[in-house]
Amino acid sequence: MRTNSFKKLAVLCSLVAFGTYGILFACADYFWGYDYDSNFTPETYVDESYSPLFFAPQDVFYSIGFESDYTSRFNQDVVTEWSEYLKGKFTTKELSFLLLNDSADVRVKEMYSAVQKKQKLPIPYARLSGADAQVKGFVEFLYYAKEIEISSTTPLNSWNYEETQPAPVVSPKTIAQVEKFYNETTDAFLKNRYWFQTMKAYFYSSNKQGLLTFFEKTKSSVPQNVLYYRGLSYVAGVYYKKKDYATSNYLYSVVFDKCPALRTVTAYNYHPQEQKDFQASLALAKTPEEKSGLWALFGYYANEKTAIREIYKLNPASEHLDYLLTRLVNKEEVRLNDMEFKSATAYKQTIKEQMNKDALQLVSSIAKEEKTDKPHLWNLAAGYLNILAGNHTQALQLIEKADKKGPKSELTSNQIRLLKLINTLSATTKMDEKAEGKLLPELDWLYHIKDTEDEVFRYRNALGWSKRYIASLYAGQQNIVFAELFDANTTFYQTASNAEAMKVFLHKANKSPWERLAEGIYGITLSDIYEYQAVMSAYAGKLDEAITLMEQSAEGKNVELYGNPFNGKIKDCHDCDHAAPQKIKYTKLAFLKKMREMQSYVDKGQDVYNNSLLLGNAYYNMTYFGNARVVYYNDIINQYGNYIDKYYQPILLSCTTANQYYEKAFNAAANAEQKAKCVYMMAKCERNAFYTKEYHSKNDFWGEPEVAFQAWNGFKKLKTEYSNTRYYKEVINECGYFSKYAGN
Amino acid sequence: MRVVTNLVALCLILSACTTHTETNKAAVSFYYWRTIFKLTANERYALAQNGVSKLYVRYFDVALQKGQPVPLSPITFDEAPGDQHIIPVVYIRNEVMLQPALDVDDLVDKVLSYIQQINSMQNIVSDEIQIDCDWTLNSKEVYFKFIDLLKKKSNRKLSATIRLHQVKYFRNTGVPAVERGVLMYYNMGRIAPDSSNSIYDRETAQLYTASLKSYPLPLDIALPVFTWGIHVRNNTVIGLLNKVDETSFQEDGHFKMKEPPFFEVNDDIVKMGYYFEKGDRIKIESVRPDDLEEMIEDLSEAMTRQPAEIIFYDLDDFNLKHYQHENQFFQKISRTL
Repeated sequence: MRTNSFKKLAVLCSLVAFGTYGILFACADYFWGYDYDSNFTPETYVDESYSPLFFAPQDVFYSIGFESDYTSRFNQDVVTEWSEYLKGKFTTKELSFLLLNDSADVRVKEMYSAVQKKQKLPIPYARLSGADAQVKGFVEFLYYAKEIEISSTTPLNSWNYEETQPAPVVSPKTIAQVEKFYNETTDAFLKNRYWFQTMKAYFYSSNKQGLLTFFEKTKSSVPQNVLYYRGLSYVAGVYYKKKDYATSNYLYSVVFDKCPALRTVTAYNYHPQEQKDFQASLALAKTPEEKSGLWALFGYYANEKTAIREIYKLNPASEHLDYLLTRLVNKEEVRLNDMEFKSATAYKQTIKEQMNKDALQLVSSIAKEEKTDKPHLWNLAAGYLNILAGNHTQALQLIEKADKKGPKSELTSNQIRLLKLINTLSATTKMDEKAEGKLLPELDWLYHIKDTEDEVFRYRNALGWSKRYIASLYAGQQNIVFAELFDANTTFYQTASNAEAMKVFLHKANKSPWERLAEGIYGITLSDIYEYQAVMSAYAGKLDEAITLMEQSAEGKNVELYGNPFNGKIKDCHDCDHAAPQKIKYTKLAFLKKMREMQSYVDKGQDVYNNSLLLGNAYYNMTYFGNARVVYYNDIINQYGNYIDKYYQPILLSCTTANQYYEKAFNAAANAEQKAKCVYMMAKCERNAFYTKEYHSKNDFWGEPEVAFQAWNGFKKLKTEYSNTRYYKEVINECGYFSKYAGN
Repeated sequence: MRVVTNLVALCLILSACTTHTETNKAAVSFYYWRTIFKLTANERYALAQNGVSKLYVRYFDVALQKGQPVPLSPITFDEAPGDQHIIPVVYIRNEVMLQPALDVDDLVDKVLSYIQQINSMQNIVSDEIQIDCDWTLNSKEVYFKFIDLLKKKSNRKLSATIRLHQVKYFRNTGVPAVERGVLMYYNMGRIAPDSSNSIYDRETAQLYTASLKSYPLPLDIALPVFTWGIHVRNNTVIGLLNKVDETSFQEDGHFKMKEPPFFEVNDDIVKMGYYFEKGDRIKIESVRPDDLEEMIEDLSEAMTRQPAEIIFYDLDDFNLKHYQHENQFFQKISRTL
């Protein structure tokens, strides 16, 4: 699926308030792909020439982002046409070089000079005769085309400022020369190309009026091919410059209608300024086709429904209807698919209420009449809108009709299958064996679609939506395990009985195919659950329980901590602790076991000071502020960043348990040195409580707290009672805060 | 899995606070943000009236194309800048600083050379360059390296724009090594379909102003004088309407202001090159003269160092017309800081 666009905030990030109307659409931080809110792939049945005009609210143009083919769109055609004309006198490689490469300019001048002087052509074209009418015609044409091109192309985005400045205009002399060639040549191929070069030369000259005069004089004798419509675009451009928007837009619409290759560029240039401009353009349109072209562009810029109605009245078989229909459907579904829902019934009710009835009616009636060029596309669209409207039988009939009558490809069969699946699921109101059996093969397909880079098929919205929908049905049936399996809830494991119920399910042997599907899409494993329970028990001080649970966590128990979790340094520096050499690397399980060993010594009254201090450090390091955050890294807890979720704040930010052990150590301390250390450690806990209250618990917390200084009780005590200890001096040396407090 | 390890500093030395000693009043200048430099008579008049001698002119943007930094929309001078002292401003998209393969040294050379090419063509001598980049935690290292190298190679004064969040969280976001920053006191909110104003909102501003006292870099102030419309359909923002204000819709029967700041569209209509559908809403976001006075009042309380300059964004006839109720308005309010 295409998700490679990476868009940055363009307006708010800069001083730039200039933005065009379109810029806001490119404001999303990330672009998740066109299918994160869409089930309807416009490419399914619509001609490629309309592709950039598909609905893409975050882009100027769908898929391509911006129009960037101005100078290269016709390269291949130009080479092919000349190759056919010259009947192999030049190789395709030579033609590509001479026609398309800027560095051929010098060579072209040499060739032109040789032709003029009736001399031999320079190497490597010496094999050709300059007297050959076609060779001569080609060289002369090239010479002037290259000259005109200098004025028509300004290199963009060059670090050479001068290059980006407007190029000099085409001189009247050059215009006269190419116009003369146009008038005099009898070779139809050359005449057609000189006509275009004359148009181009006028357009890039200061004589824009000359272009209009020349066009009026010649238009009836020019074949209406791509060159003609490229020329007509220049005419439209001149009218735009003259601020005659009505004529300009009318002409652009003619090009849009007749020349598929120029659809994107004309859609970009078409731009009515006021309502009256559009009405005036419409008055200029002579035929139903021309009117359709105008409405097709109106649909792109303004209102698809109005455009579809008008074009359908003028010409129901118009191809323009196809892309307008996909835009209408995509717009409608994107609006509706954005909806959050908890209950399937409420979801269906809201969709039904909020869906655009006009769109449903319009698309359904056109589908029914079957007068369009692609009735299968209309059936498919009507089928989809009927799913949203809750008309599931009708929806299925329409989708099947589309399937039967439409062309076949992998994309069409995927699209049909997806909409049928959505229809089946939308019609499901209860999850039971029958529903599961019906959905199983379809969901199995959907949940295992392999991504490919250029794949356009839109299935991701259905991926997420189907899980949420099924989960809401299970929730309604009080099946908490299956509701969780299909749509994981961050609070699920906060209820102990839920965890037990999930463990029972995950432990179950011989699961049914449906159960295996559900297990397969669930992101949490048994190992995660045991680890979660173990970690929560450890924070609650239940070390035996924690060890028993951790032992059952196949992966969690072996996860190594980065630093020594029993460290209690003056400065909290995680990176330093992690980098420091460690004789013993603790895994989560080994850490818990060591804590229990220390606890047993404390309980038995053995070396209470050291064991309590180390346990204090262990509990300290298990908090957000300590060096062993890894202890709480777990996919259920999911607290990997600097902001700790409200639910986990009292657990992960609290130093209460650590402080209790520091107090215990303090009471068991044998001397002032030991007491000083405990007092300082308690100051750290006091500071963390302050940080938590002042910063971390605030909703606008962003990053680390700003450092604030307070006269912690521990500081006071250290200064008044332990200033003669060695530890006191260490603290003075290492801690600027304390040093400042102590008045040093 | 994202693993964040960082240093929680128990012990950091507090930076000393500076005292407020300057007495000079702030000078007035403007940003010039159009791509063609040509001043209208009215713009010249405003510059003269308000004693403006310095213009901060956006020379070009730098963005990525095919992974390479390129200059976008460079300025073209249709006329010489005359007596105005020109400070080139370069807006660099953060994506450039985030490009893993960025050759910072080369970019600095290119930026300097490009500025020099523009200056030579217009005989402009600039003793300062201003860089505008909304750098982030991920790009700060590269951006600061860019600034350091630019400083070294340009041998000119450097200034940089500073967003409010970069002031509040400067210990994380860092401070560029420039002579002075320009605090962008606008674009503080989300562009939203509700009645909030994304350009300026006093309550939002006050979440940040308390941090100004501890910001280590001398700051000048950039204040907004622009107005725009927010096009809302089905309670979703679908477009930004530049250079529109209330007068753009007041006289048109297709629009009705039912509840300020919203106009409601009565009937489908194409206007000013935009299509409005019945039921759409247009929110006008503007900065009134008394908003500017309020900003200056709040900033003068919040800042310990007086800014040397107030730079208004941006110089344009359309913007100026909203502040013509009083002669020398920009100069007068700047003097109150």
